[in-house]
Amino acid sequence: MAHEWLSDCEKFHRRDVLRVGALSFMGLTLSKYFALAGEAKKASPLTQTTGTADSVILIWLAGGPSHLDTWDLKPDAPLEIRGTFKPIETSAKGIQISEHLPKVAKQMDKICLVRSMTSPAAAHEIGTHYMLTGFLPLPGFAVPSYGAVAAKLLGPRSALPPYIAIQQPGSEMGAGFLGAALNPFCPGGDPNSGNFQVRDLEMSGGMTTQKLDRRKALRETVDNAFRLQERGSDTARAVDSFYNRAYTLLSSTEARAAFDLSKEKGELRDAYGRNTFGQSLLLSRRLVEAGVRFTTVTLGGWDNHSNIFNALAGGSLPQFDQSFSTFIADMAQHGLLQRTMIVVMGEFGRSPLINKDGGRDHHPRVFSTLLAGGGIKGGTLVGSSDARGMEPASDPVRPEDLSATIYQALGLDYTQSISSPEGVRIALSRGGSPIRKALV
Amino acid sequence: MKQISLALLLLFSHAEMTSAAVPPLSKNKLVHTPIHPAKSIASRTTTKLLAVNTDKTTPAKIEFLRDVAPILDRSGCSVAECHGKFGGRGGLQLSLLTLSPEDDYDPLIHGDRGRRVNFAAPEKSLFLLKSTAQIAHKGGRRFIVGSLAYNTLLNWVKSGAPFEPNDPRLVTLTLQPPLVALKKIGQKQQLHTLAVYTDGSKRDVTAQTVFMSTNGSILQVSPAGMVTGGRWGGGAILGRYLGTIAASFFTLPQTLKGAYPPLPSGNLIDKMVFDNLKKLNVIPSAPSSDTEFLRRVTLDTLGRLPTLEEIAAYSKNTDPNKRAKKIDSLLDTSEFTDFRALHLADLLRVNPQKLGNAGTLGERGAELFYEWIWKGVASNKPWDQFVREIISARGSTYHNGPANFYRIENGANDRMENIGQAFLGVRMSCARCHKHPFDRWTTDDYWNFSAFTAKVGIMGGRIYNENVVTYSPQTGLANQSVNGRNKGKLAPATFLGEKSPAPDSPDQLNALAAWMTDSKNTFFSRAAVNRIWSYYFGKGIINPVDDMRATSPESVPGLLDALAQEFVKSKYDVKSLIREIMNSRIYQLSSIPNDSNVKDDQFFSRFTPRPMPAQALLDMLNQATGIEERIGYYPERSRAVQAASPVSSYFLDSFGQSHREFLADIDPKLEPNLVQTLHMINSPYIESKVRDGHNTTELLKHTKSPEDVVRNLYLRTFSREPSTAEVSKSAAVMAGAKDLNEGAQDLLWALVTSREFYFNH
Repeated sequence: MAHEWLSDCEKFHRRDVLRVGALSFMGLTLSKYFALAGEAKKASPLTQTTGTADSVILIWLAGGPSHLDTWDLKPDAPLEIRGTFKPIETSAKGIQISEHLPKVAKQMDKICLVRSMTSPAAAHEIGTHYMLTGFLPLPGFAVPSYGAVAAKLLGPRSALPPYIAIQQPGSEMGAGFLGAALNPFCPGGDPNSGNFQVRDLEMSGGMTTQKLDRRKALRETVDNAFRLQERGSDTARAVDSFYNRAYTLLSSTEARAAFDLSKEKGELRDAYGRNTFGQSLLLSRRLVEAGVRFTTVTLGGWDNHSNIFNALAGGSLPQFDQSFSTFIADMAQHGLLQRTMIVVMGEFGRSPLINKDGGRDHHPRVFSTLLAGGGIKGGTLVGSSDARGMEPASDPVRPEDLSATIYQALGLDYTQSISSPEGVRIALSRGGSPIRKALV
Repeated sequence: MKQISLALLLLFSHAEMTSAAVPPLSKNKLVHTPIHPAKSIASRTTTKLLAVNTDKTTPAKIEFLRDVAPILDRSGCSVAECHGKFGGRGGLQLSLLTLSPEDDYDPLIHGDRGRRVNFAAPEKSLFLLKSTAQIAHKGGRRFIVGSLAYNTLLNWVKSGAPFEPNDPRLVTLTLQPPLVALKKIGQKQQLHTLAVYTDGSKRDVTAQTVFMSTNGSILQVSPAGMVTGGRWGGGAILGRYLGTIAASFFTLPQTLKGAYPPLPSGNLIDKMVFDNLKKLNVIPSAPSSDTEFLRRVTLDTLGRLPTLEEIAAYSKNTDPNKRAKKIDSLLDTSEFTDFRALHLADLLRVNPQKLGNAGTLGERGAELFYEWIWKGVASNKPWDQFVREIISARGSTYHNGPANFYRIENGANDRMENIGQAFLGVRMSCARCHKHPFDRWTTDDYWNFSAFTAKVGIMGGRIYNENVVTYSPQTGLANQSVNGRNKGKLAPATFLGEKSPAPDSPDQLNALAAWMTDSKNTFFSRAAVNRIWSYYFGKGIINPVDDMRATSPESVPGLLDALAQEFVKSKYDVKSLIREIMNSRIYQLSSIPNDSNVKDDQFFSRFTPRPMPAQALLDMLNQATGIEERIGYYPERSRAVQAASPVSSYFLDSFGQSHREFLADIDPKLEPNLVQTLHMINSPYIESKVRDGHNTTELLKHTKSPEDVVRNLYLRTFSREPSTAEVSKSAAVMAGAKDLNEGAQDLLWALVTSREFYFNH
């Protein structure tokens, strides 16, 4: 492609884009992208980013967990605000969290707690969109999520898809205008179920090598005539390359093994918790090991409009405590924490004033988020909320700042722009800057 | 090669940033105290100018708009990476790409407390020091000291940096010549930009124009406006000056080897497409065979494969007019109505979520809306009437189908954008905040056109989630642009592209409907024709079909206008247009390229293979394997293309079913991807179709011959007979299976996962 009319600045930007092996130019078909990624890979291994993390695991607490009953307790506030939970000390000096998170408390030296997240969005969809993309919804315009952008700009690290959502993702976790090819790959099924199999990755029962070979031979025979059309069609060639890539993936034992939780010791699986969330976290660790860039794990049940204390103490918190604390310790033990950023968040916090149903309602003005791993300083506290947990009292952190933090950790210039097919251009982070106090 | 988004190229410009921080401005203490308004500066210092300005290279009187503002654009100061960014850079905000140059004077002269200009020592003006990198500038050096740009700015400051209210404004901008037929690769053509101003004066502003190519591999253009042909094809060079864009359209033929063959005559489409191909020395592909044609036209009209009986009957038919007759009979079926209704339900985004929630009564609105669409297609309701009924729709969303249209989007401007994209082929969204960088639309155009849909009233109904659409004459809309001059003012309802507000009318929504569907409204007829064309060729004559700008190159010059005129003359007869398209030799060309047209992706010299919508592909799979599948909540035996609303289905989602959520969802996403391939080749879902479908079981009741099986399955999937080689090769591989049943299933699997099945070609 010749761009004689481009100034130096544009050439600079192109180089920048090629450096990360991206298909930033919307015209690139995926087949070309793979070819390009292959070339780039020869030149320099892309498995390492230039940032502090090669991968991200995003733990999405859907519904909006209460900050006041988890990470930001207000023991000195009036009863109608402070609720029934007591704070406990943690392994991080000066950080107290809920008494119902005792195991996580022991891991807090590896975790950075942000107590000053703030957003204007009090509706689930809007808050979710904001937190998972760094943007409030733009009408008529589907903003891609962090994982899709990372997949696009960093590409795969292995035969596995670069972006995997272990639970069925909402559109806010999708690729938006980047196109369906960058949507997260969703394995489908419950990692906790005994017969957990990955969607379309496991050969179905009754398939033998001979049968597979026969089918491949037949497909080559019947597809051959279409080579005449293929000459003139990028799309037809792309389908062919996807076919080859799919077989590479299917025939990669490593890739398939990454999904096989039975390869883990029973005690470890127990420690993670024999439930969907626990096994999903274990799976996410295996996926990062096998080279996945961005993995999401979703845990719902945080939209506690009524009876919040029973719901949290009797279910959500003990479950989270066990699984997440094991996960952090296990990641560290496997040496994966160093280069994997872990983000734990929901779409907002919950209202300080306990409502008539013994619950808390949506409260986006201030809430808490956890960061850990790749480039994050453990045992740190960022920001604070006011005495009633109503507003940020210091160092407010906006979703844009979180997005800048994530992108920077992955070695991506968060001020760079990506363009929709319509040519509408957005910066990765709109005016955000990384949360400096959280960084190593 | 696909075209690189022009916008992307444009907006990626000027990212060169040095790491040096902007220093404090303390050195420039001798700054001019800002004086308002600008006029007084000018009048105060004019005499001084005459004494100082001895530079012959700049005009005697330097004007802000005509002389200074274009420098900001051409030097890249106002791109989105730099000072064109919302909020600006380094404290200076200019209008994006100098699209509103009038707004740039104040920030330049008075902004930052006037520290950017230094009237006492003009050479020391901060903006001159920065732009020439004499002091640190994040944007680097934009021009050098002594250059024409520098001298112009310097002399302008020396003259007191005037911007007078009666300075001439730009009226029209043209690129000369407007149409260029280059003869060979490497040939050059100098473009000239001609500007006409409010005082009647004219200038050649080539040197002040920012030039861009819509396709850099075909056409390259130098900053000075010299165009070089890079490879054969067509495209446009755009020139931007003072926020206005003009285009010059280019074609460059390929080198012809041997004589150009005589082409047959045909209908209007054939004549225009063939004429254009001849000019480009591109030889079209051969006509499609009868079997290719039958498969293609059946897929495009009914969204399914031809049955074995249909294939047999068609191949036996010796009528020389059998193609035309086939088209007529296909267009008369209710299956055609189903498939066209699917296109329209996507276009209108019929979606229960938007209509009051799925699972409650949102489906009620969606079903009603869909039913209304279906009946309109079945009766071939003229397109203008169809759209008028939508725009003027009133009443309950549970009684009147089209009234649901106004629930799909809720804001006045979102509704307007929806109307613009779906019916007029314009994307207005850029102009919400600032002037559209590649089209004519201003923020006033945007908000004033939105003022019509502000008059849509929505009231609650008596049933849960029922809405009643009313006319709300009193509702006004404020201009909410970011920095448009009429920001905050009440927007007067104005038809798109017109200068003065629409006359008062007892019902402005009816007036809007009448204006949209007026026979003189070429936005409307061109958008409809271009979109319908795109369903049958995979792309429009102008692309994207919902973003047809005055500066977008038309792949076949004149074709869209000619077809749009016919469409109006036919009283917006959609079926007649589809009939004309399908009867054209162009639609009936083979999809196999020849050496002459293998690189053509613009001019319709062959039929381009394209994926079918997800719903049709699912129907095709079920048809080929012999599976009856229940689709969503719909009755047994219904087909996926008949669903009124998006269906929850991994298959359909993977293959691009539109969920009709966003404005960008007015078309399905027909891009192949890895998830689709994995699902196709290795899912229990597809496997069960292959294994359990009754087609192979039925077939094996009647034959034990592997060759017969191959022939039958080819017909069921590829709608054609296999070649002798295909029969023998397939049969040989199948022989490795434990029995013919397994072999047949393996072959069927291979056929449905292959590209000849997946594409309409």
